[in-house]
Parts: sequence; C-alpha cells; structure tokens
Amino acid sequence: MNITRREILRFVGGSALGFLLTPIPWKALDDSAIWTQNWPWIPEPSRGDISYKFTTCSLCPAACGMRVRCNGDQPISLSGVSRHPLNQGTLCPIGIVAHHLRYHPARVSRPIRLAGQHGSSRSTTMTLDEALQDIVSAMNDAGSSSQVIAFVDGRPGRTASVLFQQFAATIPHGTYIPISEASLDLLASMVEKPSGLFRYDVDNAQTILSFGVPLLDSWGSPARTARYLEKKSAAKQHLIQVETFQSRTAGMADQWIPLRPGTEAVFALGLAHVILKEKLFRTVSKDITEFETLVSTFSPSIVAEMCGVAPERIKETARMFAMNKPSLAMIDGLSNSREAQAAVMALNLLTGNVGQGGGITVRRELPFTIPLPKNATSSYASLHSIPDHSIRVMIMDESMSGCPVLDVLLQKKLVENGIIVSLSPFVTERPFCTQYVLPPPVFLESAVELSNPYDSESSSFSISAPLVPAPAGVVDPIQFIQRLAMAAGITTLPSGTMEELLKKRVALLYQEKRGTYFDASTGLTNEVKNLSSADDLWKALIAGGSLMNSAEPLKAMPAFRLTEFLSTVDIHTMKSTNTQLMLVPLVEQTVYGSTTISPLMSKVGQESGLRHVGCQVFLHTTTGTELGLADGCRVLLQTHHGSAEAEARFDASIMPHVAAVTNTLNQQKVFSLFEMKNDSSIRPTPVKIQKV
Amino acid sequence: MKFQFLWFLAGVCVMLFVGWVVFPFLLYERKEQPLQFSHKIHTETAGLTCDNCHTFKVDGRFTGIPTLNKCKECHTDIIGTSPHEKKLVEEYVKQNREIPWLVYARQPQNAYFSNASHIKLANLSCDQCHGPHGTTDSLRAYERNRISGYSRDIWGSSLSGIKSASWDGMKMDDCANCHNKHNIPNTCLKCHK
Repeated sequence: MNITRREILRFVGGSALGFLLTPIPWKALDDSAIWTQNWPWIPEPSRGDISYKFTTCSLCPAACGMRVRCNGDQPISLSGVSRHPLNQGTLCPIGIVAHHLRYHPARVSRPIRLAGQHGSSRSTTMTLDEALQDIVSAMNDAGSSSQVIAFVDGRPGRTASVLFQQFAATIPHGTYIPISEASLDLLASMVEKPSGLFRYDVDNAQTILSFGVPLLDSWGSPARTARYLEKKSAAKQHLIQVETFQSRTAGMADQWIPLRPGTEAVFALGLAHVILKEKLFRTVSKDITEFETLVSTFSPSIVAEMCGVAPERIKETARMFAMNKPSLAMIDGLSNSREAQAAVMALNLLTGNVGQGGGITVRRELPFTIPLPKNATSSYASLHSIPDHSIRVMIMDESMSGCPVLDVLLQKKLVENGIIVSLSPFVTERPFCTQYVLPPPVFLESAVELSNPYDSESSSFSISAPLVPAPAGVVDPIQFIQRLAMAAGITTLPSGTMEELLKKRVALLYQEKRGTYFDASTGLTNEVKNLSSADDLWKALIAGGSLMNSAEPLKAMPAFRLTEFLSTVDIHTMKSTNTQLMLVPLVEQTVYGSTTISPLMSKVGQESGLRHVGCQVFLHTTTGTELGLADGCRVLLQTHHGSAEAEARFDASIMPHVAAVTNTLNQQKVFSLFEMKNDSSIRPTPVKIQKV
Repeated sequence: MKFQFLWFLAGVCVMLFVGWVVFPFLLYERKEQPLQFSHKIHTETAGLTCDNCHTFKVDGRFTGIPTLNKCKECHTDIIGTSPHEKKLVEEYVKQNREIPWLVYARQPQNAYFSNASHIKLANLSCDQCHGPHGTTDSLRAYERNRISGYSRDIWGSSLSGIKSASWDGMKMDDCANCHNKHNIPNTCLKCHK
C-alpha cells in the first residue's frame, strides 16, 4: 500500500484535532503554572511539629513580648503576647516579620571590608583577625595624633555598653558616645540634682504637647497607639502635635499646629511668655527674672508672625498646657535644635511637670555586673560636644538607629581618613562610609538584653533569647570588644560570653528581690521575691519573660536654671528669614525609614513610597506656581552649602514657602544642602529653586 | 474520498489514545510507600479507632499523619508475623528514624488548610475528602506529577477533571465548590495566608 503525501498530511491534521481533544495541552499548561511554585530556590519552611516559644523583640528598645510559632526548630510566625506588661499583645509591622531578617538579601554573615569611595558596595571578605589587626593599627595612629577613638552606642544601659565604656576609659583618647533621648539628657543638665533617668510619662498625661515626636507612629510600643485611641474616644487625653508637616501622628492628634520650619524654639518661648504673663506657672526657677526678660520679646503677636500660628491659638495652647494637668511637653531630639529642646523642657519646668506623674518622671538605672571604671565619666561625650573632624576610628554598635540625620552628624565628626567599624548584620545604604562591617548575629540568633524601654513606667529588664543557631562567621559583639582589647594590649576587660555576663546580671537583679516578673508561658505576673533562685529568674527571662521593677516614688521638683540654655535664641535674626523660601529635610520617621526591614513589608507600603525616585522636592501648589514651576518638572536647588537637581512635586500638606526635600536613593546627599550648627542639628536653610 | 476520511480519523484516534492512555503514564511517576500499612488490620483486628492515631492536640490542632512515637507505643518490638511490621521495627523504630511517608493529600505551601476546623466546626467526616482510605488493607502507590511535583490525588484520578466522588480531587476549585455549596466565604485570605 502506497501512502501518499496527501494522506500523511490528513493524518497529521487529524492528530492535531485529536491533540486538542486530549488533556495534554491543557494539563501541561496547568501543571507548568503550578511548577513555578516549586522552583528549587523558593524557600520552604521545614516540616515538623508545631511548637510555640516565647522571646522578646530586640529590634528596638520597646522590648515587646513575642510568641514564636515554630515548625520543628524553624520560627515561621510571630505574634504579641497578650498579657505582656510592655506591649499587651501588640507588635509593630516590623516586629511581626522580624524572623525574616535572617534571610534578608542585604545580610552578611562574615566580616567584610568595603572598598573604594564612600557608599561603595564593592566588598572583600576577611577574617576577624585581619579586621582586628587593621583596627588596632588605626587606633595606634589615632593615639599618636591625638585623634579620638569613639564608641557610639545606640542603646546605653546594656552589658555591652559597660564594656564599651571600660574600653574607652582605658585607651588614650577613647570616647564613649551614648546616643539617647537628647532632650531628656538636656533636661538633666538644666536641673541641679537629677535623681535618676528621666522618662516621659505619656500614659498618665492629660495634655501632651509634642514637637515632632512620632508618638502614634514609631515611638515606643505599638500598644501606645491603641491606648491613646481608647483614651481619645473617652476624652481622657489631649494630644497637640506641633510639626511643619502633617505626619501620621499629626493626622491622628486632637490638634495639629503647623509651624514654619525652624521656629519651634520661638513657639515654645511664646507659650512660656503667655504662661508667665498670665501667672500660670507652678514653679520658680533660680533665674526667673532673667528668663522673664528673655521671653518678654516673645509676645504672641511677634511669635505668630514668625511661626505662622494665630496669636489666639498660641494663648489657647499655653492655657491648655498649663491648666489641663497633668501635662507634658515632648520634643524630638534628633531633628530639633538644642535651643528648641531647651525651650520645650523649660515649659515642663515652668509648669511643674518634672517629677510629677503624667509629666516627666524618673526611674533608676538597673545594676550592672561589671563595675564601671572610676574615670569612666571622663571619657563620656555627647555628640554635640565632639569637635568636627576629630574622630579617627568610630566603632558603631548594631543598635544604632537607622536615622539618616544621625548618620550625617557622625560623618561630620570623622577625620578625612577616618574609619568606621560597623557592627551591623546588614550592608545597606546606612554604613555610608564604613570600611569594616563585622556582622553580629541577627534577631533570634543570640541572647540580647533589653533594659529600660523608653516608654515603660518603671525600670524593666528582658532578654531576647537565641532560638536558632547563628551562621558560622558572624561576630559576637562582646567577643569582638574583648578580642579588640586583647589585640590592643588591654587585659582589664572582663571575660565571658554574652550569656555568662547576662546570667551574672540577672543574679544581681535577683538579689535585689525587687518588683515583679512576667512569665510568658502562663501569662501571670509574680513577685520576684517568691522565686527560689536566680536561675529561676533567668529561666523565666530567657523564655520571654520580663522583670518589672516597682515604680520609683515621685520626687519634689528639683531646682533648675533656664536662661543659660536659651540665651542663643535670637529673635531678630530669625525674623529676617521668615519670608524666605526655606528648605527642610523630609526624613521618614516611620517604619519605612532607614531601618532594615523584611522585604515582605513592601506589601503594607504605598507603591509610590517604595519606588526609588531619586531626589524630590515637595512644595505647596501656590509656592510652586509663584516660582513658575509645574508638578513633575526638574528643578535646581541652590543653597549656600551646595546645589542639587530634583523633581518638583506639588503637595497641599506642605506649608507655603517651605520646600521639603527627600532622596530615597541617598538621604545623606540631601543633607549636604543644609546648614549644620555646632549643636549637631540640621537647620532649615534658605533656598533658591529654579526650573532646569 | 472514504479512505481520505479514514486517514484523518486515524490521526484523531491515535492522538486520543496517546493523550488519554499513554500521557497519564508518562505524566505521573509511581512511587511505592516506604512501608506497607493496613488500616484494616489496625481497625478491625487491633480494635483501634481513627482518632487513636490521628489525634487532635490539646490546643485543638490536628496532628495529621502520626509520628514514629505513636507507632512506638505498640511496636517497640515485633508483635506479629508481617514482614512490613518487621521492617517498621528494624528500620525505623530501632533506628529512631521517622517514616518518610509520601502524603497523598499534601497541599502546596501556599495553601493553608485546617483539618480541625473542617472536622470540628463543619462536621465533615474524614472520608468526605480522603475516601475509604481508613479501611484499606494496603497503601496504593503514590503518583507524583512530574511537572508540578504534586500528588495525583490533588488533581483527581481522571485527567478530564470529572469527579467520580467527593474525595476525587482536592484542587482549589474543589474547595471553592464545597464552600459555595455551604455558603462559606471564599475570600483569598481564607486559605492563602
């Protein structure tokens, strides 16, 4: 039988029709789509028994209690512990996905040296010994040239902090720089005898006057926002947010007072003027006559002209603050000038809020196992007291906040060939001119202590427990500092691992038999004195518990001085700038700031906020139109300190005559446009904007 | 003309045979379970009930396939004559090695399924989704889809997608159909967390 070409074609045609009537194309298509879910590089949680463990979040000082759901030994989800005394079951968005940080793409798990210019991503791995050799060599150079070796600590009050202090006190030109709440540190220097660590008693305040503090956004435990909203609905708390922008906190506050940028000090002194004039003050400072003279020029009408707030509103705010007690004035220490901080603290002192519940109360420092050296305080320095270009070696602790303002200030203090050693597990934009990254274990991989969260009523102590092993190659910060000391020929630093040192501290806390401890597994709070041994307290703390000291008794208002901290506020100089177009930095203070977060957090961000758009300047529509600009056009920003190209965006939430600049790619670059004062604050700066 | 049509028809028939008979053999890889297990002997001879092994924990969670610890409760030593029991004791119990069961009903990682809520809240019986698996005398071969990697039980026995019973297929459509039938919400986050 001869098969013709035409018959073959007919057979193929029939096969093609038959093919479509079979499951082959449809099933293969369906299965191929599912196959994409099973690509080998997609991480899969291991399979195993589900179990629950408890720990404490160590990403910020809030010390939130966490319940960790584990599959086998692998943490797969986190949730708050409902009866925990500090967070009452809540977690912030960063905390909820904190277990992802182990897999963060920017994570490094062995020491590296960053090469090339500042911000370069070219890196070479190295051993810890090699890094130590280089650092010691740089320290020796610094010693011979009287340059400073600085230890920058983002969370003072830890065992690691004491080691930093010991080291700084032992070596020549060693300086320990604790980064804490600057405004409260300033308050401590304004009063004569501070009797403990100052803290804002936000929960018990009736009126809160907040100067740019992101109270309902990223300040303290997320439980605070829930408590505030509850109190707000019951009209038990009144929040007045004073801020140039309508931040999230400003949007949720009872009142938002928009100020012209840089006039916070003037506004606060305007309030002080009203309080003094209407005799609403409760306490008298030692230099009240001089202070009255100083604020006499800050009448509501003059302040109104400078700040852009109506005189009546200034008077009403002052009266509410002074009469609706207890009241509390707070200020963000990083983005405000030292005078503004002093002026706001003066409001608290004038109205008798210091030492009063609902105002500024005190709590004690928890005891340390390692004694502080006698000359430790001589090596302390606040950031503003360090001269510019004087630090040769800067060792930055992991706990440094991801605030770009702070990064720029630190960079300003560094000498030209200075080096930064970052104890950070991530290489992101942050370690802008870091030469050495010595990565510590990340959250859940090592024991980390958390003492005295800034919003807890009394002193507290918690431990973030290691639930998973750390990868080989990471550097334990305690061991790093001990080995660095050895390499530098210092033998006085105490030995022992982090866990051993923590156990000693817990034993010391147990000996005090003071306050209560929270047991995370039962959700119960018990007296410390009922525990039979320090080991029992350790077991409770390492299993997600928290030690809560009893609150310190309220103390009488201390004597204080005001004028010397405010004498530099020059109303006449400020007056001359109030009609100019002022450039201010738009720094994201929320969870989308510079903190390293899980990439999955992108699901809760707006797409526009996640996109890398480079430099942008936001202007009110009227300001933009006056300058002849259009929304989206390219402009050139020119200040006395530099110039930069940016994209102009019109935004009604920006005040007229204000230009808010941001750069999602390089926030540090933005700050080069600004004037920086000796008090290490970035000041609003006059700017010229023209279309490119 | 007549033969011309036959060639076309032959093409259709050959391809139908390949698609419906040969293709399933090629698509699915048959794997024997690591160990044979008789539900029948355990329920009828040993007198166990389903929830003796497939238990709920104190917190309400379903344990699924029992771990080796459950087997050890009776089989620390050989108590019968079955070669499969001998293998269990010698290769798994004595070596303290979990049995790597091939799970017919395993859902993808992106699907969250709670046995507890379906049994305790919806009052479904086990066989509604798993069929008469609890009465079988031996474990059938596990058929793994070579492309998707999933069990054949997820798609269903027939490639046509036509279901022969309520347990024939455990795809998203099957879940959605049952939810619709009982007026249960079908939102994405119900199953995809």
